[in-house]
Amino acid sequence: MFLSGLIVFSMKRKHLLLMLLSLEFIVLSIYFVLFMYLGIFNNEYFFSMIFLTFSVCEGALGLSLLVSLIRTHGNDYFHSFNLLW
Amino acid sequence: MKLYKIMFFNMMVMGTIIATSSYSWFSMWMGLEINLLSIIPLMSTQKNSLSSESAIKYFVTQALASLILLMAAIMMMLINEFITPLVNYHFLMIMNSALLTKLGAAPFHFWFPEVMEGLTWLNCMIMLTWQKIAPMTLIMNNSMNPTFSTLIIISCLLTSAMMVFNQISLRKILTFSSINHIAWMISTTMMSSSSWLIYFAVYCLINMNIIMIFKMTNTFYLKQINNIINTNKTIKFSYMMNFLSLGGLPPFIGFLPKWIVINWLVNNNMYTIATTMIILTLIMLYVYMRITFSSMLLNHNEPKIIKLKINKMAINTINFMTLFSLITCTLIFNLL
Amino acid sequence: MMKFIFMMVMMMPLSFLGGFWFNQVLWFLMTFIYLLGFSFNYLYMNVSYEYGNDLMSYILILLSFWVCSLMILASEKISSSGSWSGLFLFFILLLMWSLFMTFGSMNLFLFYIFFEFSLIPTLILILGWGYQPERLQAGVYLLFYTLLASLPMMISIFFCYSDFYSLHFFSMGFVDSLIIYVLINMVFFIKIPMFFVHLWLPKAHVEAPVAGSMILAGILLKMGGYGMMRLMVLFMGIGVKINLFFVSLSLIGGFYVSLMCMRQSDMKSLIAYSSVAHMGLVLCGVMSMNYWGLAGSLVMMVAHGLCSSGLFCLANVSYERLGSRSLYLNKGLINLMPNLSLLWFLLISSNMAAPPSLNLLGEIMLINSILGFSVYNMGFLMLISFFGAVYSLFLYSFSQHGSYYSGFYSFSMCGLREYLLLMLHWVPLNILVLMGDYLIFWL
Repeated sequence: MFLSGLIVFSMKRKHLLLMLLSLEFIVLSIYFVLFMYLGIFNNEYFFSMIFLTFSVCEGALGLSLLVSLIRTHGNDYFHSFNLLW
Repeated sequence: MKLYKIMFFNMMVMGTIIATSSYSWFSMWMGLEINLLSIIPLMSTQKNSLSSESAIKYFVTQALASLILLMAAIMMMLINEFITPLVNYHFLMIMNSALLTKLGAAPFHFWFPEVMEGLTWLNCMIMLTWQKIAPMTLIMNNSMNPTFSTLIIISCLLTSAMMVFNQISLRKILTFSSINHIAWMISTTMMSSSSWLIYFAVYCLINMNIIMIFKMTNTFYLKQINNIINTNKTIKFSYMMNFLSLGGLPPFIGFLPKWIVINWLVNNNMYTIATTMIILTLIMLYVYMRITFSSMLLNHNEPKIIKLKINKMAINTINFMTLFSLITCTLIFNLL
Repeated sequence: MMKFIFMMVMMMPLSFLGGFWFNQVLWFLMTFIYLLGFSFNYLYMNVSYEYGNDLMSYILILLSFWVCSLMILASEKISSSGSWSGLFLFFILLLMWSLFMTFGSMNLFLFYIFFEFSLIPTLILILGWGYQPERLQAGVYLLFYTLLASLPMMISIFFCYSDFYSLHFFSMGFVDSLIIYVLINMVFFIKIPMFFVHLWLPKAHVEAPVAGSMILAGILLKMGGYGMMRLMVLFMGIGVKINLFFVSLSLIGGFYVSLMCMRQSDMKSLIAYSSVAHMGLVLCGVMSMNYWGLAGSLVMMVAHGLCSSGLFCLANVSYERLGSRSLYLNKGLINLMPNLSLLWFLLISSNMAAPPSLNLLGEIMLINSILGFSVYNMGFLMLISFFGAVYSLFLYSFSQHGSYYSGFYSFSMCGLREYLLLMLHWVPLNILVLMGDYLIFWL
């Protein structure tokens, strides 16, 4: 699940939004693993709350970056991110 | 200066401190995430396509790296509960690669110059100095496979030396020079953390001097050096000396960390890697020389129309004190 | 030691604030004060902290004080044309300071640091006050030839430290490793310069201003010789086995370089190549590892420092007048400046080791030691000696005799300052031979 998320993340070369979505997919897979691990550790599931909070913040930040990028570039195509070369 | 920038700056500092002083891998990850989340608003300015692009590039790579890091940590705990003899070197290597990605070390460096290109000088300074602290200390905590670290060091040196040619953007040149210095710092992390501290502190000092000059003169490309920096004698000299110091030439302070690192490497019988590092760093020194050629030729017309609003005295004092502190420190050492 | 360091440090602001000639007077004053400190003793003296000097360092420091003073005297043009004269004085001061520390340090690592330090003022002298745009290339050659060898030397210095637990010159033992031998000595080979790694020298000389050429030929080459004389003690064992290789290399190279001298058209380049040949003899003398070799190479270094620095001054005198250093334009100068022609003759005859000069003493001692090393060196020594005379005469006759170039319009005659400058090179060169025993009994 994690590996397929990584592959999707790195193969994606058109829309930034899809990249962010695949990033969320990776987050979900890590959440799954973390949940299993915490299940072994005396069912201390509240740690996953911290993880979820952070991942939500990260996702929101990614979306806001997407918005600012669309405002400056007009699209979210990866082809257009070549100003810095 | 906007208020939220101050807040985010403090958050960023806090994130690094959390990460470096963390006790478990999870809180380390938290620190790295806080650091990432709060540096992005610092980077992006409104309606600037360059900075938003560099922000998204930085975000994407750093988020991925930290997720891989967390995954590696969890898998390692799942498999062998971090018992030292059982530490799984494959997962350790994955974890180290993720940290190296955050650092911008060579095989994982592709985001680094592009991100740097879109930033202002102050942000560049944060990226070059402060953002290295957390991943570096974490790499130091992991026992790195010597072969792997040697590979990283050599690839850092090679890529930085090769890529830096034909660059005209000062930010990119500084980036590649930072990749070069990362190689030296990684070699110190193999041996002693105190020598890493000295290396890093001196590197930050020199970088701060250089970036301060660039920021005050608003210089971003090689061609602009002729316009502004070269028209002022004192600025020209401190600029030139700082680059020689960054290259590690003896009378300047930049020699001190190299000296210490080489001393450690020789004490640990790593002659080959020390020689390789030195020889490959010479290429970097050539590039620094190439940047400063136009100022080294000394004669340049100095139009009186250009008025620089620069506190020359401050620049002179700070640069002089930092550059020649090697001599003073050796002399003081003798007096003791 | 400390008083001279302090005097130099205090002269740093003075080089910007005081006048050019005031600094000149101070430099000579400093030289003579240093001269007063001569002790008739071969042991380390004036020892304080890590610094001190025995007779060898004393002589070389004295030489560098002298040459630095003369550098300022020679570059009157910088003062009169106002091209950063304060900065020029400052860098000469910095250079002198680093040379003082280099020759005066009793610690190998301090020697190394200041050895490297002297690169940067030299580099800036060449790049800042040189003549053509090609000086960039010359500066890069100078810097990277030296750095490429000297940074590996640092590794071997640390290796020596882990072996001996000390880097003091007098408390080091023996090293029997070929790699360490090559790594440590290679930087001196490049600095001296040995044949094959000498390519930076003619370039640097051609591009450097007169002061840069003087200090390069006068002192910086001697740093290589000095380092080898100090460190050859380490390599007694391994040196016996492989010194032969370097001796023969620099003998053959010296012969070859002498041949190359004869087809140079640039006067400065000719003098530079001749100094490669002479320093090759010094290298052989050190490498022969006998008493005469060491003493003779010190004598030769002092002699060559004064002589070639004087020749560079001469070349610069005619360069300032004629605007060219080409031998095809600088001909028949005896018709134009007959007084100067005498000085040309005197310095060139010293360069080919004619009798009253210190060069003769040095060359005799070096020939003895090299022949003592191996009789088969005789052939190339003969050739080097002969061709040394040939290219010196070539330089003299080509520049002085013949008909002068008809394109000259007008120029001022040689001034008193220039006569003084040249005599201050020549007189010590020929007077010191009367005191030759003090240059010899230093071991």
